[in-house]
Amino acid sequence: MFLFDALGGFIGAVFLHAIVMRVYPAKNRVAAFLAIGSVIGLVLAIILFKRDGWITLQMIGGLALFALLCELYLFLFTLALASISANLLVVLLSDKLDYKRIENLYDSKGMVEKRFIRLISTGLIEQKAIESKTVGYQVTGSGDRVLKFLNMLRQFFGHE
Amino acid sequence: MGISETNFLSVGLLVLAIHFFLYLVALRRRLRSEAAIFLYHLLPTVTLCVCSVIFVLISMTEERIASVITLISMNGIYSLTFLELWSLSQISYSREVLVKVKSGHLLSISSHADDLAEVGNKKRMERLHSLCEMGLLLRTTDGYGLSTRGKFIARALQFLNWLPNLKSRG
Repeated sequence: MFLFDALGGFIGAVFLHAIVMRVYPAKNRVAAFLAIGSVIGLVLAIILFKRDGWITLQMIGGLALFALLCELYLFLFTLALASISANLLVVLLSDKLDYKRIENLYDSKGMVEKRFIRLISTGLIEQKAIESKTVGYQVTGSGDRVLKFLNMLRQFFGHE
Repeated sequence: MGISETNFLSVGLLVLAIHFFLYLVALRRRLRSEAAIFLYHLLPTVTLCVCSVIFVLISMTEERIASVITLISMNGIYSLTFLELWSLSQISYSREVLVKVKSGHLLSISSHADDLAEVGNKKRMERLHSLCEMGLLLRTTDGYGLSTRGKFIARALQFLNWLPNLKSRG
């Protein structure tokens, strides 16, 4: 039944992603999951097409469920990766935090540095050198496009 | 008997289209808080889920189940995408860094990051406050601890960190 095909495809995608991330830990996790999810989605479409026919309710239902589960998983692991709240909860699992330890553990400059390093590794900002001396950082072309997109979203949702 | 699977799916998708259109023309500037926008999406989700259960219970065929799964999945994809983009554009810390770098206020990570450290500090305090309000954290005399619900969610998050081999967080 299409339900089990979609669930099986999703579990396969998560499992394969977990293996790939252990073999190549430096790879971009989101891009890797999108690539793996796309391939498995295509295989799922072929299986559903062969069994249920072209554009049937079963085929659309199976693919829609697979897409929803993949989006939900992407959302959850990026939340676990980047959310301040999620990280506080995980840190608190090991121990109670007094006010001083929260300050030390989540020292604000450390948070800025982590985010900075992530933005450099994803190519959104880069080092700016003048006369071969590093003097600072600048937004790259793709960083500029991301910023424009976020600003457009802010306008659309009325945040500005 | 009654409404066909395709018609049920079409009506459901029409409801989602009207939901988006209504936001676009009338509610964009009114729904400003996280709670309000969340409730706005919870309402059609609950309604469509209840209607779907009734629709399937009337006659349980594979086509009916498929139309219901399609509708609920489409609703999930729409709401999840909408809420993700809404919160990303509202509170993205990365955006703050990009804005600072672009305006030339941030020349290096360590020496000129005070502005952003202040933003990070504010965020941390806001998050601690909202985690307490959600009942996930308990405020003690000297700090914070997890509630039972908080522990459950923290363990789920820990599993989510382990699964894709996440090392650097925050």
